[in-house]
Amino acid sequence: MNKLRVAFYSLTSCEGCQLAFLECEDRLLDILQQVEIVRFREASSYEGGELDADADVAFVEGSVSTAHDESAVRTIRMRSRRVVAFGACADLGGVNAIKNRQGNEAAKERVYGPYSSWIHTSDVRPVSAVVPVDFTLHGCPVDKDELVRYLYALAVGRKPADPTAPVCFECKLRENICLFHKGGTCMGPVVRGGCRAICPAYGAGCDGCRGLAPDPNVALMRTLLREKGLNSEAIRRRVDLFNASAVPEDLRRELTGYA
Amino acid sequence: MKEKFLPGERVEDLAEYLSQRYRLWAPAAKEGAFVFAQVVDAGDISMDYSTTLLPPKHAFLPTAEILASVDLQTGEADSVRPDDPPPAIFGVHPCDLNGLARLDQAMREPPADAAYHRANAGAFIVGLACLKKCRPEAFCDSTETFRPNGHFDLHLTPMEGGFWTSVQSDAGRALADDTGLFEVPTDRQRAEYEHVRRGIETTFAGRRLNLKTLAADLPKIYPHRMWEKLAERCFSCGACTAVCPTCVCFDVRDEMSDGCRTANRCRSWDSCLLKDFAVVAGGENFRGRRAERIRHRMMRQGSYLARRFGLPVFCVGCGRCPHVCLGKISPLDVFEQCQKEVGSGVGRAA
Amino acid sequence: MSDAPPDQGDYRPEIATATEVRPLTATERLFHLILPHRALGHLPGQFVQVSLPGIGEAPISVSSSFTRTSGFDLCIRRTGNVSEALHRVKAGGRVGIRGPFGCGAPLEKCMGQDVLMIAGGLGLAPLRSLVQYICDYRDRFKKVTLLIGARTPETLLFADEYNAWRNEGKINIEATVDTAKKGWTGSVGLITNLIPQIEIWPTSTVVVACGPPIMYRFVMRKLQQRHIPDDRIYLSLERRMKCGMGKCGHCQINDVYVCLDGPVFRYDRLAALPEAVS
Repeated sequence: MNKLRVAFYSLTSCEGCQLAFLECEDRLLDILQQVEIVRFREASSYEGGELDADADVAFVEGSVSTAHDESAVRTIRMRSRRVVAFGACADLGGVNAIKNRQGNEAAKERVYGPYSSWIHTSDVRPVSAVVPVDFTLHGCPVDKDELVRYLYALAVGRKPADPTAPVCFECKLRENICLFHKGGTCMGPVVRGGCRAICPAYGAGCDGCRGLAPDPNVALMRTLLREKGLNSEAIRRRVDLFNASAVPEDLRRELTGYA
Repeated sequence: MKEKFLPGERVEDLAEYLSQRYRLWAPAAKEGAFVFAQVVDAGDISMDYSTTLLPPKHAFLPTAEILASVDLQTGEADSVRPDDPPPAIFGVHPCDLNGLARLDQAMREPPADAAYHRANAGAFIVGLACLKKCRPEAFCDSTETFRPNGHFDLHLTPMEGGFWTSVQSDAGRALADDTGLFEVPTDRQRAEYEHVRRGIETTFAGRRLNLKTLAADLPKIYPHRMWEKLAERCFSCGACTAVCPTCVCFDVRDEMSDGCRTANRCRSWDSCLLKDFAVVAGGENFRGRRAERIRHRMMRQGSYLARRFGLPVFCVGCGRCPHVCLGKISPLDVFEQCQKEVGSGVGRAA
Repeated sequence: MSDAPPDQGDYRPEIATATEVRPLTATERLFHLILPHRALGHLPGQFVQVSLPGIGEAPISVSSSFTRTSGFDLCIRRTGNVSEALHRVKAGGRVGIRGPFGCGAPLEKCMGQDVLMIAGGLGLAPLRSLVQYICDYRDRFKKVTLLIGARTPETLLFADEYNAWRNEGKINIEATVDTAKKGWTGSVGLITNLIPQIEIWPTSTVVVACGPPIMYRFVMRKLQQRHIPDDRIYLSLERRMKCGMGKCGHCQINDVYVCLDGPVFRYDRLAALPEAVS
């Protein structure tokens, strides 16, 4: 059987999702029985061109925020049979997209001060806004077990499962005490799970790194957050952490209460 | 039924005895709350506990399990958990005893679920009576599940000096004799137990439902705008079903493991509240709207499964779902509202 | 997985061998499968859970009658993970089977009656088991009619078998397609248009229909215009069964489990199940 040819690429990101793959440690040898890694800059000493490989599956980490990102992802798409949006930045725009709400010039000015004219950046977009995406691995960072299941599914020619149950459901299965009962707040009821509620399990409220679950009751979410003392601005910040440009405008208005 | 007395200081010995012969599940503290956990040390058991986060259902039906597994190189099938001792659950409150009974009925209705049967063959259950309501959201009084209703091997009722012990099964009888921990109750203890038992009946006398008609009443309000109103308070997150002792819905998936050398058939808890639960291969969703899904859950718990298994109600009133529901949806309120609409509620019943 | 037949209610499949694999259309393939230790023992209208290790399991209606061979046919449309992978299975390949499940088509009710079968698209796949059964016991039934609808002539299933069904089975077959290029001599239009044209005795006819939910809405209207009583109409419903034993809840319609009580339901029973054909 031919091994699945897999490439890892990164656009604008912290590269932490690729690290998640490397952290599979004791399973890496098993995985390599099934897949051949053809490009993986973060993990290799290969010094040739990055985008000159043909792959069965390209895991693309990061969002598109520069002209270079955009041309790279187009090249990747052309040379890869399947493209996976790999992690929250690629899936949603992620943390990078916070700047979309501030304006490019203002953001550049704030970060780079007098050198801002050296920087060329566009609005941050998820990979799917630029090229067609076949599958998505959600999360910041991606879940290792889910990644391994994905690789095995792709290796046997199956579409990977993409669970949509909200974080709340998995949080209950894990026997966590609800953060709302502890006096905190959490976006778990309206956010897509698959993470096994890892943040609530360690006492941190969900910030929505996997995007909204299907059919989210955003009006009820807003009511709950308001009851806990979050005003529109606080809710907006919470939403924008990962979903600044990933939540449809009408839902965003309903969620934050902003007109 | 046989009756025994267990002196209070010997309850740990009983747990110890069980832990040597069974995989012992018992209530244990977790961050100020309680869970049913596999305990090694009987000292970790909390006998004075309020409702656990999850019911003990997962001792018999794990949240995720491998049903079957095959080595793709040798073609050899793995029998699942062949050598594990059978499970025992210790200190189960009456709501959860009723929950386990309902789970058992659902899973063993022909054709019986073979994986459930294998996981539970030889299981042992020790009940523990509740003397007072554990939390305001509980409504085991209204569902009449504050009594153990027989689904146990031993049932302990706390009283002065120890536990009145009802022995239900042959396994319970054999164990009670074998341990040598139990005493023959004195007349004074018998009178004291009667007093405690009557106290329980008085404490749980409140009824907000007419159980004679509930299962027939609910379908009458199937087309009603109350479901749309209810859906406004529902996230459709499935938390209610996750903590429910009588929800049995699950998903079955096949996955590869060990570098694709092994194929596993995996089962995990699922929820009829989740958006894509009723999607079919063609993409159509037969309960696509939130109101339809929360209605389905209420109908299952109040009517469908009750009628299927000859019970007045399937829900056991443990109060977990109204406790975790951030929209504060309680089956009790829904059932009560239904009976108001239909005109059969306890308030109006003759 | 084990070669021995599993207990009832088990999730371990038996391993069947695909002795023949035949493409029917661009998206459908017909598999002939044989179990190692037994005949499937199914009735027309029943389904099996078919699986490939590590890929998944899918409920598929049996397309052949037990009266034909010791094996059985499954017609698989390429739509999802399991069906895609099944399309890669060649003759001699092995697939997992659990079942049969469900209670099948109303054979007794059909006996001595006129039978009208209505098949929309892939709906002919399950109905073929009933067609074959009727052909094999033709004298037990009176007038038998089969209406077939498909999108185009190329997507008609089992078209090469219609002549045999007509001639040996004495079944009156009418096929229609939504759109056709030149060369198609049959009807063009929706399957519902065929219903007003055929001869029907409402009180001695049993209708068995299988097709997508949208088809049922329009077919029911036409059947009711022809005054066929609801208790003489049977519809086969599609649901995504995970267990096949009335446990997992995925196929539940109101208080009924499609995997136990269906997938073929009498229409008057469905009227009490609002979620059935929503």
